[in-house]
Amino acid sequence: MEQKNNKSLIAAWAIVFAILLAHFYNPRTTEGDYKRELTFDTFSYYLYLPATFIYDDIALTKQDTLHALFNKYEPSPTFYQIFQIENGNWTPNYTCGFAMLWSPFFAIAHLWASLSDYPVDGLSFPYQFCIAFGSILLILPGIFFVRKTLLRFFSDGVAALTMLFLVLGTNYFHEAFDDYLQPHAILFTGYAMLMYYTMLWHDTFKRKYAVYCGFLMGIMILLRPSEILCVFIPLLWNVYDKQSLLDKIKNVKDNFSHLLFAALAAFVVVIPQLIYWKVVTDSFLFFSYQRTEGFDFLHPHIWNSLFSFKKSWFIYTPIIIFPLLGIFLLRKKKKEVYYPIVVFTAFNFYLLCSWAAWWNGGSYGMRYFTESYSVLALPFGFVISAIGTSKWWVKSSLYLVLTALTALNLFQTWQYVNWIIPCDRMNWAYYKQIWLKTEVSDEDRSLMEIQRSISATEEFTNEQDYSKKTIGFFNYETVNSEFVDANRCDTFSLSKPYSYRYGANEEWGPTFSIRYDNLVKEDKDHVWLRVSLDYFAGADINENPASLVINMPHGDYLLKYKAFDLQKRPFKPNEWNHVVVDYMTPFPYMESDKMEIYIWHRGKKNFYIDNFHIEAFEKK
Amino acid sequence: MKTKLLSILPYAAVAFIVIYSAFKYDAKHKQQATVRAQEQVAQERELLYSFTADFEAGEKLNFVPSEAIKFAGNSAAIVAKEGIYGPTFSCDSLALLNKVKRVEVSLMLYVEAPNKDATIVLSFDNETRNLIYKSAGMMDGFKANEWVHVKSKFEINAETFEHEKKLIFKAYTMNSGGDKFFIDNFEVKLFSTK
Repeated sequence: MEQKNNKSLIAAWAIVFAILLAHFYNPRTTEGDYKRELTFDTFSYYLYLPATFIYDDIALTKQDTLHALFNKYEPSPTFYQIFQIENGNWTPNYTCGFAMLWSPFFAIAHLWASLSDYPVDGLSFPYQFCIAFGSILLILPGIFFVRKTLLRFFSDGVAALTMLFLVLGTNYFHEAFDDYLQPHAILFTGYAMLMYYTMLWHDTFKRKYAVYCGFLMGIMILLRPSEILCVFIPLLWNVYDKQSLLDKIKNVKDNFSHLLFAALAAFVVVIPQLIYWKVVTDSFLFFSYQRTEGFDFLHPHIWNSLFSFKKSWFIYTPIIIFPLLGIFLLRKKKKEVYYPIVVFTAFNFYLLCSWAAWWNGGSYGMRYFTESYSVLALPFGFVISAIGTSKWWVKSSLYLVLTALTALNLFQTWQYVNWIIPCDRMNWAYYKQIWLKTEVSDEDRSLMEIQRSISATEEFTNEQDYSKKTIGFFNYETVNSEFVDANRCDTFSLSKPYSYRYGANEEWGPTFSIRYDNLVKEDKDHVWLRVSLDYFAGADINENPASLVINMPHGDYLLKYKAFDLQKRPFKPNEWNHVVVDYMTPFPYMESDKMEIYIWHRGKKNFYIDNFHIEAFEKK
Repeated sequence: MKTKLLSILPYAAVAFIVIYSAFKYDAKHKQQATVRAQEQVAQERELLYSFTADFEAGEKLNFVPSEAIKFAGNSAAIVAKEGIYGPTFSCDSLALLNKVKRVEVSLMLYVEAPNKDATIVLSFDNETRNLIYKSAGMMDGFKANEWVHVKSKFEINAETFEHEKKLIFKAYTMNSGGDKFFIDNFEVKLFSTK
C-alpha cells in the first residue's frame, strides 16, 4: 500500500508558503517594489543576458551604452562588476550559470517589456520582477527534493520535523525569502537534487539518473566554480570500506556508459561559457575571478567563521550544531552516506573559511554555508530520529532547545529585515545591546562597527571625536627619511635642503607601510588616515600626472585601493602645491596585512615631493 | 478526483501569487511612473504670471463684499445667481498669452448647500469670437458651511490663438442658478513650458 507521508508534505508546503509570506511582508521587498533587484554581484551574474540579447554586445565594448544603463538604474555605487582584459574586451567578474538559469524568465520579461510601455533595456521593472520571481521559483523545489531524500531514510514525522528545523531554524530561510538573487538558496536546490538523484542512481543504476547528476554538477560548477566539491557526493556515495570501494568500482565499470553520459551532460552545460570565453577572451578557459579577494588556504579564518559576532556560523545559526554532530551518527547508522557527507562538509568548510572576506560580505549569518544545508539534512534527520527514540526528558529538553533556537533564528531574521541587525557591522557590544529587542535607539546603533563608505568617495566630518597622532613625517633631509634612496634626493626642495625626485620615467618612489594591527588598536575597528604632502610637477600637471595611492594589499588583491589623482585637484603651475586626503582603514582580511601609502608617478618629466606627512585619527 | 484537485491546489496558489504580484506591482509602477511624469511636467513648467485677489480694501476687481462670511481679513466676495459672474481677472497681453500652456485657478469656497451651477470659467477671446472656453465645477470637496480649498488646472493649446492680433483672457467664477456662494483668496497662475 502506498504510504501517503502527509506530515512531511504539509510541512513542505507550509515552508513554501512561509517563504512566500515572509517575502511579501518583508519590509525590504515592499520598500524596493522590485525596482532594484539586479544589483551588486547579481548584476554581474545577469549582465550576460541583456548584453547578448538586447545590446548585441557580448564583449561589453559599448561602454557608453553600458554606463548610461548603469547610471540610470544604479545597481551599485561603483561599476565593479566587469573588467577589461588585454585584448580590449570586457568580461563580467562571474561565470554565466545564473544567466543560463534565468534565461527563460528573461525571455518572459523581454516579451512583457516589448508589449508594454516599459523600456526594453534589460533592467526595467519586467526584467527585475521576472528574474526575482524566477529565482524564487528555482528555490522552492529544493524543499521537495530534501523531503524526497529524507523519506528514503526516515519516517514521515522525522522528515517533517527535520525540514522545519532545517529551514526555519537556519539562515537558509532568510536566503530564500530575502536574498533569493544570491546563489546560495538556488544552490541549496542543486545540492538537494544531486543528493536525491545520486541516491536513485545507486539504487537503480538507471542511466537517466547519471545524466541528471552530470547535468546538475555541470550547472552548479558553472554557477560557482567552487561548487566543484559537489563531485564528492556521487563519487563517495556507498563507499565506506575496502569491499564497498571495490563494489563501487565494479558498478561504475559495469555502467561505464553512464559515467560518459554524465560527463557529457556536464560538458554540454558548460559549452555556452566556453564559447563565450573563446569569443571574448580568445581562449576557451579563462579565470574570471581575478578581481576577487581570493583564498587564504594557509591561514583559514576558522575561529572567526565559527564564533565571531561580526558574522559567524555558530553565533547566528546555532541550530547547525545538531546536523554537524549528526555526521558522527552517520558512521554508525548509515555508513553508506558517511564519507560523501563528511568529506564534502569538511572540504566545503575549509574552503569557505579560507575565503579572505570570511564574513561573507553583506548578509544575515554566513550565507555561503546555506547551500550545504541540503546535504546536512541527512545527519540532521538522524539527530531528530535519535531524539525521537530517547528518554522522555531528553527528548523534551532537546526539542525545547531546537524550538528555542528556531524561534531565535526567526526573531533575528526579523531583526535583520527590519534593519536592526546590520548586514556587516555587527559586533559583541551591539549584539548584546539589541538581543531580543524589537526597537533600538540611535545610542544603541552607535555601538555598531563603524559605517564604511561603499561609494567611491568618503568624507571625514567628525574630527572632533578623534584624537590625532603623526605616524610618519618625511622631509627627505633628516634621519626620519631613512627609507629614501639618497640618490634620488634633490636640492630643489620646499623644505631645504632636499626633496624627493621622481625622474622622467620613474613611476615608483618611497612607500610608507604600517601593519594594520600596529595602526588600529585591538578594541577599535578603524582609524582615519590623513595624508598630506607638497609636490612640484612643473607647468602642467596633466602632462606630468601622478596619484597619491593608499591601500591595504592582501596577497594579490588590493583591498580598498584608492588613487587620488593629483591632476583632478586644484593646481598652480610652476609652484609647490599642497595636497591633503583622508582615508578610513578598511575592515582587514588579516590584521597582519600592511597599509601602504605612496606616490604613483605616470608623467615623463621630473616630479618632486616634500614634507610627506601621515596622521592617524583614533576614535576617542 | 477530489484528491487530485487537492494536490493541484498548492501549485495553483503559488501560480496565483506570482501572477497576482505581477499585476499588483505592474499597476504600482505605472502609477508611480504617472506621478513621476506629472512631477517632471511640473518641474518643466515656468510661472509666467500670478494674480491674487483677497477681496480686502483696495481690491482692483469688482466684487460684492461679504463681511459676515469671510475666510481671511475683513471680507470675501459673494457670487449670487442674480449677478451670475463673480470677480473676473482679465489680461490682454498678447506676448504673455501666446506663451500660456497651463492655467491654475485656486480659491477658498464657502457654500451652504451643494450648487452644481457654481463653476470656475476660463475664456480666451479675440475681438469677435470666443477661441477657448473651459469650465470646472467646484463641488468635489463640498462641505456645507465650511471653507474648502478649490483648485482647478486647465491645459491650454496655445496654437489655437497663435496668429491672433488681439486677445483677451478671462478667469472668473460663475453662478448660473444655484444658491449664492462666497469666495476668498482668488488666485490665477499662468504657466508656460521650459
